[in-house]
Amino acid sequence: MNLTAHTTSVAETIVFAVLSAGVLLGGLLTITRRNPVSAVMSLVLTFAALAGLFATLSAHFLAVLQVLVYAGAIMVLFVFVVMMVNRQEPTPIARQGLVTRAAGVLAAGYVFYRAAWLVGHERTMPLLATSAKPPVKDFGTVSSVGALLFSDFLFPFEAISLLLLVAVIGGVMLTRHVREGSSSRVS
Amino acid sequence: MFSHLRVIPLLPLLGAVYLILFGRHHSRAVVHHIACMAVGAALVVSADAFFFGLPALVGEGGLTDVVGTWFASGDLRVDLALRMDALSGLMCLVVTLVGTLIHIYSTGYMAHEQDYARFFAYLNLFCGAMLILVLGDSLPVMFIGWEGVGLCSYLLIGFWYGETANASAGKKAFITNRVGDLGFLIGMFLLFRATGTLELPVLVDTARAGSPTLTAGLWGGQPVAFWAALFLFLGAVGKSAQIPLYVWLPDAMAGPTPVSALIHAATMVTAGVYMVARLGALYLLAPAALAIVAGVGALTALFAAVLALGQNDFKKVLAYSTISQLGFMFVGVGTGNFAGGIFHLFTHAFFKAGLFLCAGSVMHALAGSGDITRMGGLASRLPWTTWVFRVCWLAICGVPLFSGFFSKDAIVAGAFATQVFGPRLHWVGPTVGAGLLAAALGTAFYMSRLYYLVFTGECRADLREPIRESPIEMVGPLVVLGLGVLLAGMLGVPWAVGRLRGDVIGVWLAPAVGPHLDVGSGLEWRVMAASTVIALAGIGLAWRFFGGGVREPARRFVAALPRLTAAVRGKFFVDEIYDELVVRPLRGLSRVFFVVVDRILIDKVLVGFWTVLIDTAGRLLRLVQVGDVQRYLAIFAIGLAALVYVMARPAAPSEVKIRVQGRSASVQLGDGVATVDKLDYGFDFDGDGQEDRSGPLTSATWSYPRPGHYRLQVRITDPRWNTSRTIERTIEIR
Amino acid sequence: MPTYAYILVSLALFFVGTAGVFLRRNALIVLMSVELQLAAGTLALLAFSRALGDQKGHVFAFFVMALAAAEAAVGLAIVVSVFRTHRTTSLDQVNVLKG
Repeated sequence: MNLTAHTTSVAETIVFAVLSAGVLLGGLLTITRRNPVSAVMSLVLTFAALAGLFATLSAHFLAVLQVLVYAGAIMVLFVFVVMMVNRQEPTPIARQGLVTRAAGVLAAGYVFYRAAWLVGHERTMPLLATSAKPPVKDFGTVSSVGALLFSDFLFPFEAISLLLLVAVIGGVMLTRHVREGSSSRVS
Repeated sequence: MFSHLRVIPLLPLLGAVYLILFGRHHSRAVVHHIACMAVGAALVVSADAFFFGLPALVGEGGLTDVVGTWFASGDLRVDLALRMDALSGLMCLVVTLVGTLIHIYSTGYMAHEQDYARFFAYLNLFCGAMLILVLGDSLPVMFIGWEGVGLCSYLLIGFWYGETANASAGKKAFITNRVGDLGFLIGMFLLFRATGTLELPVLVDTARAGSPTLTAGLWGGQPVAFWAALFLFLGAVGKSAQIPLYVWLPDAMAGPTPVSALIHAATMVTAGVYMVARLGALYLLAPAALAIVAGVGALTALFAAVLALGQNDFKKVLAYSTISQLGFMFVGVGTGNFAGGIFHLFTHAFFKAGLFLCAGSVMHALAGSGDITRMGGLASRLPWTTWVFRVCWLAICGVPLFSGFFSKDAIVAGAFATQVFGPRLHWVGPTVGAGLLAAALGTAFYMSRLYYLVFTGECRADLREPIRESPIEMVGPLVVLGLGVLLAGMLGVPWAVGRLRGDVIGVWLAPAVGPHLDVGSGLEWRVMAASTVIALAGIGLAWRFFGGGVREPARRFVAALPRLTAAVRGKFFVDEIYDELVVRPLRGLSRVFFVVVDRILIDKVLVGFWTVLIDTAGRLLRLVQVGDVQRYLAIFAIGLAALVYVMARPAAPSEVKIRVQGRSASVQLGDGVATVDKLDYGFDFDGDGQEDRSGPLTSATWSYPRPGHYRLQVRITDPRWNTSRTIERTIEIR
Repeated sequence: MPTYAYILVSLALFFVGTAGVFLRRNALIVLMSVELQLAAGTLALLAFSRALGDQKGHVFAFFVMALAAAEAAVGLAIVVSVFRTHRTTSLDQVNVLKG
């Protein structure tokens, strides 16, 4: 636990506030847009702001990855699919089971409220109060995270690459056109 | 111990089992050989035991064979034991002899029958059961045979079950028998309760000794012996077709004729008489019961004779004749003349079986028809049959020197001479005797009517088919029976007739049934003379009415008394009365049970309720499975929220102590010290909604300005989660 | 900024994502809401990682990101496949179970 004393400067607070607002606003916009394209764009905004937040957390490698992978690759994927199935729905919220789902949202809200209160009440706890960059050399950089990846976490790294391979194959299998009488048909 | 005894019933039973299982795979020749040899072997063994083994032991209870213990329960122990003494030995011979003859007869009569093996299997089964009945050494073993013959009767009456009428006749026989069997069982229960045993020799000895266990009063001022005897007699009434349970016997003629001959003439129906004779000593202890037996017998004899006059079916006439003759037998045993009753049973077996087999022969010649109004003139066409019929006919009418004369005579004379009824009921004997004489007149009349209508005069039958005598398999047994009829009488010739050592049968049976009834020679001669006159009168009257066909006097009689004729022909509508009084209510009751209990209660309520319940539960639960994942997730969240709510609340204090001193009250939660949880406590003492004391301490004190009832509220808050719990109490301040 | 601030943002973002998952009809929007939730989780991971000075959190977040990518790919493939047969992306119209 890092207890290096560090007081937050005003600039830091402003940056944090702006980026957080961006994240939350983007999130809210995403879930409320009728047009899927708008929703996708809002999500991109969210991820961009999130990347900024990552940077303020000294997670430089991941901030870049967020922009490259999330905002770059995944959102492009979303865009492609949205373009393919672009259909504006008449009502954004389904009628059936609305009561249950709304109740679920309220229940989730209640849980988060309690969690938030707890966090707020305990904010002076050492874990939650720190704000300094850790003294570890090159904390959060590509080289240090990469070093960890290829040493202690080599196996999961390779496993996840296998997972990505499976995902690729799955994606291809699911969306290819099945020709009539083809012997390689998947049942 | 004479261990061959068990072979006697065993052989026919084994024959029956084998034929039931495998009979249909064999040819007819094999089947009837197996069946006839089974009964024939039983006859041989019986004869061997009877003539060679029995005489030595007849004074000491005869030959016994204990197969093993059947069951022992509490104080009751029943062995599977057989005993051949004078009485059961005689019965045994009758059953096996007549049984064998009828088996042989059936090979001819049933030659064209499809279910050949089944018929012989049932016949064998019947013989086995009857032999168990007769040889049984205790009432339960006898009852096995009793029920067994009832079952076989049902099976054989309804042999051609394709016709519903036959099956119904079988059912009627079985059910009517059942009513009687209830009486038999109750009698058994009473005897066991009184004496602690059901073994026949022991019961008889107990009765002969006049033991108080049997003479003690039971109900209505009558001794145990009376009630036991009466209930047992009820069983006999059912089995031996007396009033009021005779109605099944005429219907039983639906079965094949050999069955009628064997079961419903010679053997099964005589089981009741046998049973009363066996327990004769018991009946002698209760003269009232004997009076009832004799009375019922006489009444039945007369009533059945009248009914026989109106029947136009050959076998039905013989059926009513059997009922009537059984009445004679019951008068015999009912007047204490056990030997006489059994003697008549013996002779009746021969001539009645003979009569039935003649009927079968006639019906066989006429392609199955039994309507005597369409017969006539058969004497010339069926010579052998006619001769045997004549012999049996004269016997049953009681013409002198034929066997029936001697046996009937023995009974009538015994009725007049008996002393068994005691001073109060001494009139029963002569009354019954007179009734029997009337019945004898009727017997002669209706049997002669039968003879004249069938065998004399013009043939009224359809003559397109030639009418031929029956084959040798049928005629042979007929002749043997005819000879038996002629000879059997010799056994009972009474003392009075000659210096010969007559009345062999009375002497023979004495060890079993008690001393022979002594009838004075004067009475004997008078009775013989009366019987002869009556017999000849009956025959003569019948000749006038029916000689050579229905004649003028008969027509005039019928025209003059139409209603009486109709009543007689309609059997006095007894069946219809039973139907109204008994069958319909039972059917209605069964219907009620069926609809209410089975359909409604069980099906709808007990079953339907659960069905509806599970169906509804299923329908309700199905609503959960909507497939809407978002809804499922929402329910997750709701569950999670509930969990969080419960977990985050501050714990309830272990106890709440409230102390009131004067006007001040103090509250203490738990054990009075601040808990580790760092909870916040707020106390509202006066119920105004404002907290009067608050803080981290778990106890507080407050003074009340005024007395009264106050609502005390304690609020416990957990500041970390911002959750709280409220506890309420009421305080009274004086 | 102190860690708790980031945690609160993460909570709020997660709640927004949850609301989107529960309430929206369009399958694509729902998938995007799931991405929001994952992102919220990643944020919390990184905040604690900084507080503890341990880079293992970064590695974990890396894996989460890879997973999210895989999941998005396959999920979108399924949406496309369903769209091809049912001609719709509305979740309430691809429900075959009778309630």
